[in-house]
Amino acid sequence: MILRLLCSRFLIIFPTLGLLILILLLVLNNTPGIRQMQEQNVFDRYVDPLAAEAAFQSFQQRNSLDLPVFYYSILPAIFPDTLRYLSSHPDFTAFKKLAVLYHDRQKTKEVLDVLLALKLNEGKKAYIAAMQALEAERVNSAKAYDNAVISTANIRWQHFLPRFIWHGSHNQFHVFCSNLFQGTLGQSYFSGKPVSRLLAPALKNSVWLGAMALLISWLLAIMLAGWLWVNKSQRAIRLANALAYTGQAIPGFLLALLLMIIFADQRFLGWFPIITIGYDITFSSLVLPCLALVGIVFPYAFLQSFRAFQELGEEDYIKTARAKGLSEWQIWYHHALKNAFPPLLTIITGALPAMVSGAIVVEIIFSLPGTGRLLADAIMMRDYAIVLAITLVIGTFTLVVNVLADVGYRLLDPRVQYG
Amino acid sequence: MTFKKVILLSVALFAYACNQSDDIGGNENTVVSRFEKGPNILSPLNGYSDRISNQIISLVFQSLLTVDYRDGQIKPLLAQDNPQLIVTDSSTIIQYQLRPEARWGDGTPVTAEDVLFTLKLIRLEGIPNELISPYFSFIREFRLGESAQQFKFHCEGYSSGMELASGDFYVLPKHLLDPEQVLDPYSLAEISSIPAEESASFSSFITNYLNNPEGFAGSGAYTIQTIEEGRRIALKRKENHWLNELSSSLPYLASYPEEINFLIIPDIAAALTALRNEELDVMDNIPGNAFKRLKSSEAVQEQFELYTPESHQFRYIGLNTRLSKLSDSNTRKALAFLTDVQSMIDILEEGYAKVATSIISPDNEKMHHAALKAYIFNQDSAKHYLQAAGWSFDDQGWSKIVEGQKQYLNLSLLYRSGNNIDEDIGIMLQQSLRQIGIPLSLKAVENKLMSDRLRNHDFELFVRSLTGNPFVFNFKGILHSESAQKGGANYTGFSTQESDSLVDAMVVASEAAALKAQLSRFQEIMHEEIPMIFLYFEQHRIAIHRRFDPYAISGINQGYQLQTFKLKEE
Repeated sequence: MILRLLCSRFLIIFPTLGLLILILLLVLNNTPGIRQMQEQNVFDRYVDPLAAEAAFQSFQQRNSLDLPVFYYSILPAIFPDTLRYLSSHPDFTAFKKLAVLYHDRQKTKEVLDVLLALKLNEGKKAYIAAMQALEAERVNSAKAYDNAVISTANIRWQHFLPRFIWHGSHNQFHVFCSNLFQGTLGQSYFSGKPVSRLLAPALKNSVWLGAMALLISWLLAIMLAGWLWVNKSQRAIRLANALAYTGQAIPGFLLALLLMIIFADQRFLGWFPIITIGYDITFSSLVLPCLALVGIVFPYAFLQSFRAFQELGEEDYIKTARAKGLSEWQIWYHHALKNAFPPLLTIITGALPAMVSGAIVVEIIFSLPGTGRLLADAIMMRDYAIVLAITLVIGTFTLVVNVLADVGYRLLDPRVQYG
Repeated sequence: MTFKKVILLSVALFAYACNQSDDIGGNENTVVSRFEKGPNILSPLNGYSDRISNQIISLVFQSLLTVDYRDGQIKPLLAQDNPQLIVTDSSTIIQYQLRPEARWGDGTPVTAEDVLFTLKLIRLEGIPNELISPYFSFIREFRLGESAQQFKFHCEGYSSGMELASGDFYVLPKHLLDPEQVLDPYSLAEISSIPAEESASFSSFITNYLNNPEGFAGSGAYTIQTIEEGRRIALKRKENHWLNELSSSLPYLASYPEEINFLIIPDIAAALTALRNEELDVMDNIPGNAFKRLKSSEAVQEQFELYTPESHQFRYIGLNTRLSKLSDSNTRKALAFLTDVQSMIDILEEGYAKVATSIISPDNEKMHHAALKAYIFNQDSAKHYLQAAGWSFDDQGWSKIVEGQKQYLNLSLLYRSGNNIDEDIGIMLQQSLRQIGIPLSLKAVENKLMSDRLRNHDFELFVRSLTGNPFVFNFKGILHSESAQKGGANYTGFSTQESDSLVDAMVVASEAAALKAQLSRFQEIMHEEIPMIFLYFEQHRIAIHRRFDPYAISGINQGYQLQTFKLKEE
């Protein structure tokens, strides 16, 4: 039964991941900013615009960004198939406008073929110059003819019917998935470095930190909630709740900064260095970030655990256990914990993906290179190969954790049935 | 296990962890410096946009020319002397002679073949070089000289920045990167037309080399010893470096520290704590308020020397002169009168900045137009210029009739999200404008999105910083009509016939006196037309441990060169 459940769940994971990759590719391909890769704030060097555009096109080719996103596109019938060979998104957009202006697929195709031949024989610069001249001509013509063309009955609505254009396996989705099946997550757009080499150490740090913090937080939270449930001291319950709510209200960065100042600043305790070295993250380098994360997670974990125990109330099985003469701790461990755990499992599994995605505030303050920092830096730099890989890893981990949570439910409570 | 046992175990582990500190500083002759983030691409072909990478790579590889931070002059590094330029009507020939002493790490001499090979790599398609390749398209041809150390660049046309640009790339060792002489059959002109498939295996070899910086074997004085991704980069000085013999006669090329450690500490509070703990020897980019606190701390003053050299970086407010509401220079002048620059310097930079009156730093006494006066905050003058531009004030605000329509003077300003100073400049301007009835809305935009919007002319006002160069005065990219079209970097759209011809003339100016006259007139035009409201030139804020004696502290780049830090004699 469990095996069947596992198989059925894992079968859903693959198409879900495929869809995730496709959506990510579509979003990242249409996110502005990547053309500003050469942007610099020093104005001493004048760059030939043609040379800059040629370099951008080489960059696109090296990273397969000149390919269509998926196996097919849906375009108005007026656009020729060869449109996809255009080097860049602006050229693509410009040519679409040109096709509308010409209103003749054959003519558009002929112009396009001349341009592509120019690129092949004369090089990128000649192609870019011709493209720019064509765009200038189009803008001028459009100004003169736009209204006339649109208003005349010449316009044939058939030209704007959607048409499937098949690209074959020469597309970004296929390239990425092929790499994935060969065990690589692609290469950084800018350095060409395999993404796995960047991701592995960051992931290791984040998982270690996240796992330790989650484990400590939830263990402490469940034990404290259990202690309060057993002792039933109203004063202690009020105090613990007040402290937990206060803890939840303290922003994570403030807590992390306070810990750093108290424990790492030589003017105070100065017990830890600000940054520790070594290929592996050492135990001492994880203590303060872990404490900070525990401080962030623990109040929430405690409040949820306490609520779960409170909701058990005075169930019959608890009264029976008490009548049998079991101690309060025995009742908590054998009965209360077992019954309160399933709802807590949902909350804990919901928090697990945070282990992989990293805790950016804590990573920044304690100079810990985790996935959170890597992702933020990659987004700032527009290195979408890294963004794609990290998002995919987080997505996969979330799906797997959810499958395991389903199995966990089933193991904890055999009454649970899945469709 | 009881609750008490868990607590006891945690305390014991915590106490154990306290004793696990590592020693980063090593010996006394190790410099520990801080970066706020890791290098984007640690590669000698990374271009100019990544100052962090450049700071590291310049210790490992060398270029033909360099800058002496003490006197601010361009000086030879791998080259024997500064190059000789022969300028004709349509081309320029730049002649170099390499130092005969220049050696790679394995003792092989640096030759003209290495320079040619590097230029080929800069142009080769299929390797990560796109950030640098556009800058060297001006070199058309390479010719070897009579000896293995002589060569010539043949360049198209002439511009005043050619001399520096021709020697401003890191030379790579051909004998290590192309032992099979794969690129030899191709000339420099042919290299970019090699089909990517043909050079695929070679490109993959080069990309692999570039992605393993620990294996870099440059002609510089240091090798990269350790890279801990996102945490630390450690460099070690070579035992017998070819410049050791020359450093007494060429002090700007000396290298003293045995090790240089770059720690990556993103958070400024953590970095300042590390500095106070003496875990860092050098820190730059210190925020004004923190720098002021460091200055007032006796403990810090005892350990660190604090420097504030003038930088070439300035902040400005750009105005979209294409818009009807900002097309009149009187309106722009009114906005300049409403910008309280002195308060911005006092409040936001704690006084560590100088009022800018033009695009040239006041510290560059030779080229700065000293007669230009700053626009001092004055509401009456602002109102006067608004009225001169045709605006009149009523209950709704300032308005005028444009093409039969009543247009109100309400503005919006873009600033880089996450940049507190830019945001505060916006807020201060907003308050000043509100006082005379001009509403200004502020919009935070991520840096690259902002560049996109500026290049597409989708803005009214923006605040940004820009870095000049004390050697080159080429404004063609940012203030010429050729760059004012969509996609160009002349965001403000400013150009006049006179300013265009001045910019063109300055690009080819070879005589200092003529250049100064052209530059003065250009600054006057900018001051009158105000496409940009110049705010201030920032000062670097640097702390350096007192046990080191830096060769020079200057406004160039980050302001210091770590390799020239010499231990003070007791």
